[in-house]
Amino acid sequence: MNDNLKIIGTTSSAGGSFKDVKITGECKFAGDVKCEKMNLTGNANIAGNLHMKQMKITGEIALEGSLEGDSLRGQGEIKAASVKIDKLHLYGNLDVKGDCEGEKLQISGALSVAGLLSAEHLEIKLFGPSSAKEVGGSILTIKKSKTGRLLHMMKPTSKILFEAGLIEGDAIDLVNTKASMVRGERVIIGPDCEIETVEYRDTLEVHKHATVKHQVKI
Amino acid sequence: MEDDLISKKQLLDLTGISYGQLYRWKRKQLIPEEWFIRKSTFTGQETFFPKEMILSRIHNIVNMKDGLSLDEMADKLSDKASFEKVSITAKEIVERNIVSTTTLRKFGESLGDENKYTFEGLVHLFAVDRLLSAGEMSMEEAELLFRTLQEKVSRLENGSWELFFVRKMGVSSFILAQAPAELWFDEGVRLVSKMTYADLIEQLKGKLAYKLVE
Repeated sequence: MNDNLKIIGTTSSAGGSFKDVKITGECKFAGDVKCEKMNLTGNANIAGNLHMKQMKITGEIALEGSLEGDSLRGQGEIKAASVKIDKLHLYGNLDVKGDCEGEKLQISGALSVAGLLSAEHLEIKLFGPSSAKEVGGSILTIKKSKTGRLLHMMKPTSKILFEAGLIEGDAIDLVNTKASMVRGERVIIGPDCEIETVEYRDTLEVHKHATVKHQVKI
Repeated sequence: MEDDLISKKQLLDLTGISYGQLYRWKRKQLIPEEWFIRKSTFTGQETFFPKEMILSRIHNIVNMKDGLSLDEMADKLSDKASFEKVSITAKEIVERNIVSTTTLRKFGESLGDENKYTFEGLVHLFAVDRLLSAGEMSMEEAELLFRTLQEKVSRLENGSWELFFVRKMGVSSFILAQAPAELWFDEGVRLVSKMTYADLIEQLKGKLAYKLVE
């Protein structure tokens, strides 16, 4: 129950309950993993759920089940069926088949969430094409990543967009976003946005390089 | 059916809460996932909620908020067991306006000790009282309803029921069905009222929430 697990090299494990898990290299877990701390440098594959308190990642993790915990930070790629982490700070790519929930979610890179992306405080620095079916929360910010802009200059491709069906929040600040509906108290629609309908309660600002088809004040 | 639902926009207008709060409570499971009902409307997809349940739930959350963390609140609200332990005196019932004095005097005694009403006992009183005070049913019918509830509810599996109160040619009947139920009647039947157990307990929880935070 309270054993530590330390893996160096390429291994597989049945999974289980641990105190600290440290992986340097590659590991495949055949079942659920539960631990206090996880430190991953390399590659991990979990054929189940992962529940942890704290996690640091440099590399890749792919889960068949859900990823839950208090905090996660690092760089790399995360793939999971669903994500529920209070504080998530990731440089890289996040790919979620279901819902992604948290209190404070900061992502620099790209993300794709097939369900609801919900956070008290959401900050996305766009680096690559991203999408979410629905976004909901209190403070929602989508920015362009500075590194992304540099890369863009060297290799001009099509515009990087964040695409969503519905975005709802108290304070919403968007750039490079394509959405059918944005609803909020205070809404800022920045450059390169394409929004079908914006419904706002208090204020709305629309950048001159943005298109908003319908504006409704409630 | 449409009357029983409220759109997200109407809900925010009515209660004065923000999108942030709604999503926060959803994340904390203070508002169950099943209550978010998606429907297509001419403006696209809209989210609706079962009106009475969501309104009383939000009222509960807002009124319990002081002194309790969201997690503590989620535990209490979802846990019917904590309400089942609540007992309440006749005096409190009247003071808190949970059930009218008339109903309490008429049916209260049959529930046993007048100073210790339980949650389950109150649900029946509450149901009878709602129809009586709405002027939808006579005292005689109230007696019939109360007896029906007392005798028959225990026979329903998992205790979740719906009640249909119908009249035809001046003759009234109560139909108790396992929830969720949908009934169709012939043309001569008028559906006077419909109640669900889930609605009732949600409202009653709201009225008794103060008991848990005391």
